[in-house]
Amino acid sequence: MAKEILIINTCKEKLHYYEFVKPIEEIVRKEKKFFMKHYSLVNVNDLIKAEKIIICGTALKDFEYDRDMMAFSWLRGFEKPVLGICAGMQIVCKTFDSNLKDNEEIGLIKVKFDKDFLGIEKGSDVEAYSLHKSGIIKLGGDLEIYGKSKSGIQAIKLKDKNIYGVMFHPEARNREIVENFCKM
Amino acid sequence: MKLGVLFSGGKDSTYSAYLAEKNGYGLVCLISILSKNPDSYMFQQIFREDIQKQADAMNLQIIFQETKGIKEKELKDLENAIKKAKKEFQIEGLVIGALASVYQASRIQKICSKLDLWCFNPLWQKDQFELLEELLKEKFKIKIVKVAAEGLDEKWVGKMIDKEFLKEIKKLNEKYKVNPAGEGGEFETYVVNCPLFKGKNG
Repeated sequence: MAKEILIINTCKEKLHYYEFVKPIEEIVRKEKKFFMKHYSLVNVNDLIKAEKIIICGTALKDFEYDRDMMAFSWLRGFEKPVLGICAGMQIVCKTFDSNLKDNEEIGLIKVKFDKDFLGIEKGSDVEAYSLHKSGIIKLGGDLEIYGKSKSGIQAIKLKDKNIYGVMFHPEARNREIVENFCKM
Repeated sequence: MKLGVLFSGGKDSTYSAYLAEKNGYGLVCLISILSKNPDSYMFQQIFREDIQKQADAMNLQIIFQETKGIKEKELKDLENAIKKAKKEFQIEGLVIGALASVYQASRIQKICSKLDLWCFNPLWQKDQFELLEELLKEKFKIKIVKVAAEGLDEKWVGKMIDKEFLKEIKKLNEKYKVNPAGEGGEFETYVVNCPLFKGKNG
């Protein structure tokens, strides 16, 4: 079976596909074959077929995925690489016992990486584009912090598994994070 | 969902509005900012009569807001115009046409968040050549109305975006790094006709 990346759309609104999913598809298209599905339609066969998974972000006002966390219950036992972006990172964090609170961030921020992260070297200060309403206040014990900004946690990884998360939007700045995830 | 469109009359905001309608969203009004500052990072300079023609062609009401175009103060003018659209037309969201400008997109996202409105930016991060090709495929008739970049002289003003333009802009992009979508203000456009123009001027 051909190896393909599954790109998961978390958007409630159809029109947000163009803003939060299509830019990711365009980065992945240059590296790998992919297929895209809305989170509510992902089934066991998709999870078997996928070589890796990217969970995309969504709009500031969109919390439908958050009320539907059961749809992501597969994530806890998933063994293949996953990259969660913004809402996707929040889904990863919630799945692995983290707590979130309101913390709106819109615009460019500086992220300091304390560990190597998908091609970004330890010690790097990176400019990133953030667009989110919630931040992490307590990180689950199986997750580790890889990057932080003044306002909080911006990049994480699950210990012992290749499950990553970034709170910012690498499709706007730092596309290499998505490219390196595809290549790893 | 009832949507307003932050509208300059150029290709990006018009195409964003088109994508919203194509995806089943109801457009209820346009919001156009008449800036007195030709160098604004936020707004293209536009003319009331030109925008009115397009609004008539789309059968849409329009909210005009004047601004001196002073950095950051122009955002307050924008916020007031969007507030007015929310009150008068009960918009629940705003459609914008920012391709790559974090400056523009983040400021509008902040205003929408403050006013509890959905923000839709369907051209975000779109490949600029792909956008031009799509516009031609969707039969957008677009005129160049202003130029301001090395390699683009006055003879470009008045030209229509067609296959020949695409070839030329690709060459200029290679030679002078001219942004093919003109998002850095290299050139400005006016949509003369498109599938959204079904009204009296359509």
